[in-house]
Amino acid sequence: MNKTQKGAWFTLTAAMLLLVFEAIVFASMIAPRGRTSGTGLVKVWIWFILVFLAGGTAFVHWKRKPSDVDFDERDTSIKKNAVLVSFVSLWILLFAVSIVPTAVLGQERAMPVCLLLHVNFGVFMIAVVAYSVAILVQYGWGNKGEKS
Amino acid sequence: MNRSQKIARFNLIVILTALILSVTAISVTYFAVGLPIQRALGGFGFMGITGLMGLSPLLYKKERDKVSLDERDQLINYRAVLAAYSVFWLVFTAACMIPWSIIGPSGSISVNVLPIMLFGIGITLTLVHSLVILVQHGRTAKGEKS
Repeated sequence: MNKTQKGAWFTLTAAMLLLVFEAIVFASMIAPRGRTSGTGLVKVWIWFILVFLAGGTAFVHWKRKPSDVDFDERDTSIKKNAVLVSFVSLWILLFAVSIVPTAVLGQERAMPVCLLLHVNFGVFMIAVVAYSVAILVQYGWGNKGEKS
Repeated sequence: MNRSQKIARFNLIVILTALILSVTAISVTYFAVGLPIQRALGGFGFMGITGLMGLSPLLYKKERDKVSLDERDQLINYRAVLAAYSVFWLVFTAACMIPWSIIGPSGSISVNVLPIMLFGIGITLTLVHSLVILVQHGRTAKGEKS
C-alpha cells in the first residue's frame, strides 16, 4: 500500500467519523429534550476522532524514508480522476440537497438557517468520501499499489 | 481559436450579458420607476438568458476530420475545472455562512434559497471555468486551430 492509498484510507475514515459526528449534532438539535441533550455523546465522539487523527497521521507517515518517491505519473493521473469524480458527485449531491427540501416542504415553507451549516459541512465531507473512494477504487482497494 | 476557447468565450458573453441586463433592469425599476425591491428583483428574470449556454456545443460542433482536443487542451481544461472547484468551496461556504451570520443562529429562511444558491454557484463556476480557459490560452486567437 503506497502513501496515496494510506492517505485515502485515512481521509475516508476521518470523513466517515466526522459525518457520524455531524449526524449526532444534528439529531441533538431536533431532539425533543432540547439542544444540549446530546452534549455528552458529542464530547466522547470528539475524543474518539482526535485519537484517530493522531494515530492515522502516524500510520500514514510510518517508516517513510527521505529517499522514497512521494508519487509518480500514475498517482498523479489517479488523483486527477478522483478530483473530477469528486466534483461531479458534488454537483449531483448539491442538486439533490437544493431540490429535496423544496419538494418535501413546498415553496412557501421556511427552514432553520443553521441547517445551511450542516449542508455545508455534510457536502464537504461527502465530497471527501467520494474523492477517497475514487482513489481506492482506481488502485483496487487492496495492497496492489506500488510501494513508495 | 480552438473549440474550447470558442465555447468559453460564448459562455462568458452570455453570462455577462445576462448579468448586465439583470442589474440594469433591477436598477431602473427600483430607482427610476420606484417599484418596491421585492418586485424590482424580478429583473433577475434576465438570468434566464444563461440557458443559451446549453447551445454552445451545438454552435461549435466537433469536426470529424480534425482533432478537437489535444493533451494541452486537456491540461488547460483540467486546470480550469480545478480553479472552478476551488472557487466553488469559497462561494458555497460564503453562501451558507453569510445568511447564518446575518439572520442569527435561531432564525429561519425560505427553502427557495437553496435552488437560488445552486443557480448562483453554477453561474459563478461557469464564469470562472470560462475565464481560466481563456486566460490560459492567452485570451486571443493564439491557440491551435482545431
